[in-house]
Order: sequence, then structure tokens, then C-alpha cells
Amino acid sequence: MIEKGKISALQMGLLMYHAILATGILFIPATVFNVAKQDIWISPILASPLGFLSVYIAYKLNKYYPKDTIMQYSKHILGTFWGKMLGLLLLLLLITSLSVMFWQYGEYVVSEFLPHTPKSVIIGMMVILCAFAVHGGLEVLGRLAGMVFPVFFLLFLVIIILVLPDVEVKRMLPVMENGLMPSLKGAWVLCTWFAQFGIIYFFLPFLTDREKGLKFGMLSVLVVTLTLVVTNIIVIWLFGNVTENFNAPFMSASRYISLAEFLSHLESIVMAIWIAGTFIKLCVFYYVVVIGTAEWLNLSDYRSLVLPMGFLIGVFAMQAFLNSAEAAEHFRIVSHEIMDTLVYGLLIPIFLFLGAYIRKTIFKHKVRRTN
Amino acid sequence: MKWVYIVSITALVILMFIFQWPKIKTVEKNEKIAFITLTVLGWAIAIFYVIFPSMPSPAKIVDFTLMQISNIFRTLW
Repeated sequence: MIEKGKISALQMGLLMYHAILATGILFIPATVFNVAKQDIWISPILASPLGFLSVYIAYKLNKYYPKDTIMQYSKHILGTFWGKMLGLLLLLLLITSLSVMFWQYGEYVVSEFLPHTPKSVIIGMMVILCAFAVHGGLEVLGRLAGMVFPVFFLLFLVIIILVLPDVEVKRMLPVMENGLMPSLKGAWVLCTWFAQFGIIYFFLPFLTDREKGLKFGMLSVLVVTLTLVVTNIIVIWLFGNVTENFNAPFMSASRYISLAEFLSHLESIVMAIWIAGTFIKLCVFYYVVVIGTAEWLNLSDYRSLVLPMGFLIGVFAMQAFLNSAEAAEHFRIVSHEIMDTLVYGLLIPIFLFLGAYIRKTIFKHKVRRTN
Repeated sequence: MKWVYIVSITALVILMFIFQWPKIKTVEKNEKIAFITLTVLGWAIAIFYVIFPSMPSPAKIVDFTLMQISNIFRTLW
């Protein structure tokens, strides 16, 4: 096995929590508001079954091939050539996705906090930082997630409590003004995030307590859903119909806090938790890309690939979009038309699962009967 | 101005090489090949982006492909 380290199921759940929520907590409310209006808090509940499904499919595949990640069992299921082809497709999609995430991080930091710093410096620093974490291996990532999560959650609660004096519940009314359809459309947008739970298939073989993998995976989806519901409710209570004017409403909400005239400008707290969460998210996807490449090439060690891969991703991230207008077009396509995350998170695993099911049950029956 | 970028990218790649190469064990031949290929690929793509800045990025290529596929499905619908 290529990865010698092991993580616990809880640590995997925390890793996935950050991998989904780090960007989601900022960008989901405004993106979903375009279609769901004041019902944005219903959308995460409607979209969560997709997350549960992704985790369940990955778990079932892992049950069939307990010691392999997707790169290896795709070869077992489809044969060497088609397995490699599917692996290549998966890697290309993951690399693209990761480069967009790095771009998003760079763009956000430049536009909100460090307007005079070149984007190459910001992205480059993050790539180097992530490269060191990924070089450390899976155990390092697991512990980092365990370290960041309590801080993340505590500060999240602090922000919510401090916002409470300004909220007005009636901004949420009327609930389901135009029926369930707007929130269903919002749920479709959210599928982009929930489908990313599929990358859990890279972590399941490396668990110390594999039987708990499903439980903590599901729990992770549940906590992500709850966090999103709470975020969306707070945003809609606070901003109502002007939510769409903000790029990142949760950040603007924290700017809004002014308690007793001395506790204000808390956006630095949100920025701190956001950077920490995004760091984990980027590390998770970076790790997945590196270990996926190493397994695709049948290497015995993935550490030598960390730096070249980081360089490649950094180059792609720098060039991902020339300006925010192009990026907005990209995010419109991936969230309203067809999504790349859905392909690598759900469609490819379902396809492999069907193949594995046919191989393991139907053909086995045949073999038994001929015996 | 372009040559400044090209020189600095090359310097970065050489630094990366100096840092990583001694750490790969001599028996791991495949690792060395993979490392060199990826590094050269990254360097070449970076240089291409410097010379032709309007070259499409992978994100846009994936968008375009997925849109084409979804259009095919839509016409079949």
C-alpha cells in the first residue's frame, strides 16, 4: 500500500467537513439566493441525500475492495486499459477542480484583504504550505483537521451569537412562497458541494476503524447540512432580500457586528477561520490528486510527486480565469448547468459500483452454478 | 518583460529539482521518471502561458467539454 499512515474515522469525517464547507460557508448563501430567494435554508436539507448517497456508494465500493482506492479497483472492475483511462479522466477533473479552488482562494484574499499583493505570491505561498502538509502524509492532515475543527466551530458559533441582536425573523417569511420549486432549484446548485463527498473513496482504505467509516462519513454530511442551514438562516434573517448584493454574505454579516461600540470589525475572525478551513480543503484535494497520480503510475512512494504537482497546479491556478467575469461564467455553468464535481463524485463511483456489483454477484452466481 | 518571468520560472523549477532530487532513493527508477516528466511538463506549460497568455486554462476546457456533452443529451431528450 502506498500510504503507510492511518487515520481514524473521526479524523476522516473532519477532513471531509472542511473539504466541503470551507468555500461553501462563504459562497453558498449568495449563489443559492439567486434561485431560492428567502427559502435558501431549505435547500441544504433537500440536497443532503446526494451527499449521503455519495458516501454510501464509496463505502459499498470499499466493502468490495477493502484495501484499494478508486485508482486500483477501477482496474479490477474495468480491466487495465479502461481502468487507467477512467483514472486519467478522474485525475484531470480533480486537477482542474483543485486549480479552480486555488484561484478562488487567491482571488478572494486579493479582493477582500490584500489588494496590493500580487496573486501569484498569495497562491504560491498557499501551494508551498499545502505541499509541506501533504508531504507529511495522511496522518498529518488528519491531525490538522482535528486541530482546526474546534476553533472553526467555536468561532462560527461566536459570530452567530454576536449577529443575533441584529436579526429579524420576519425577513424569512413567507416560507415557500412559490412552493417547493425554488428551494429545489437551490438544492441543485448545492449538489456541486455535496457531490464532493465522493472523494471519500480515497480515504476509506486508510482507516484504522474501517467499520466506523460509514457512520462518520454520514455524520460529516449531517453536520455539513446543519452548518449550512444555520448559516443560511442567519444570513437571510440578517440581510433578507439584499443577500444577492454580497459576494460572501457571511463575511459581510461579520462586518455588521458592532457590540457596545467597541466589539466591531470581526471580519478578521471570519477570515482566520476561513483561511484555516480552506487550507484543510486545499490540502485534502491536493493529497487526493498526488496519491491518485502516484497510484495511477504504480509508484511505491508519492512524496516525490508533491512538489512538481504543486507547481503544475499553481500554474493552472494562476491562469484559471483571466478575470472575475470569466470566473462568474464558470461558476454559473458548474452550478446551474452541469457540474464536474457530480461527474467525479457520484457518476464515476456509481458506474464502478454497478460494474463491481455485476462482477461480484451475478458472475459469482454463475461460477457457483457451474461448479 | 516576458523573459523575467521565464527566468524566474526556470529558477523555481531548478530550486525544486535541487530540493527534491537527492531525496528520491536511487532504486526508485519509476519515481525519477515521473518526477522529471511532471516537472518538465509543468515548466513547459508555465512557459507557454507566459508567451501566450490567452491560451485557455484547463477549467475552461472542462467547462466547454461538459457543456458540449450536456448539449448532446439535451438534443437527445
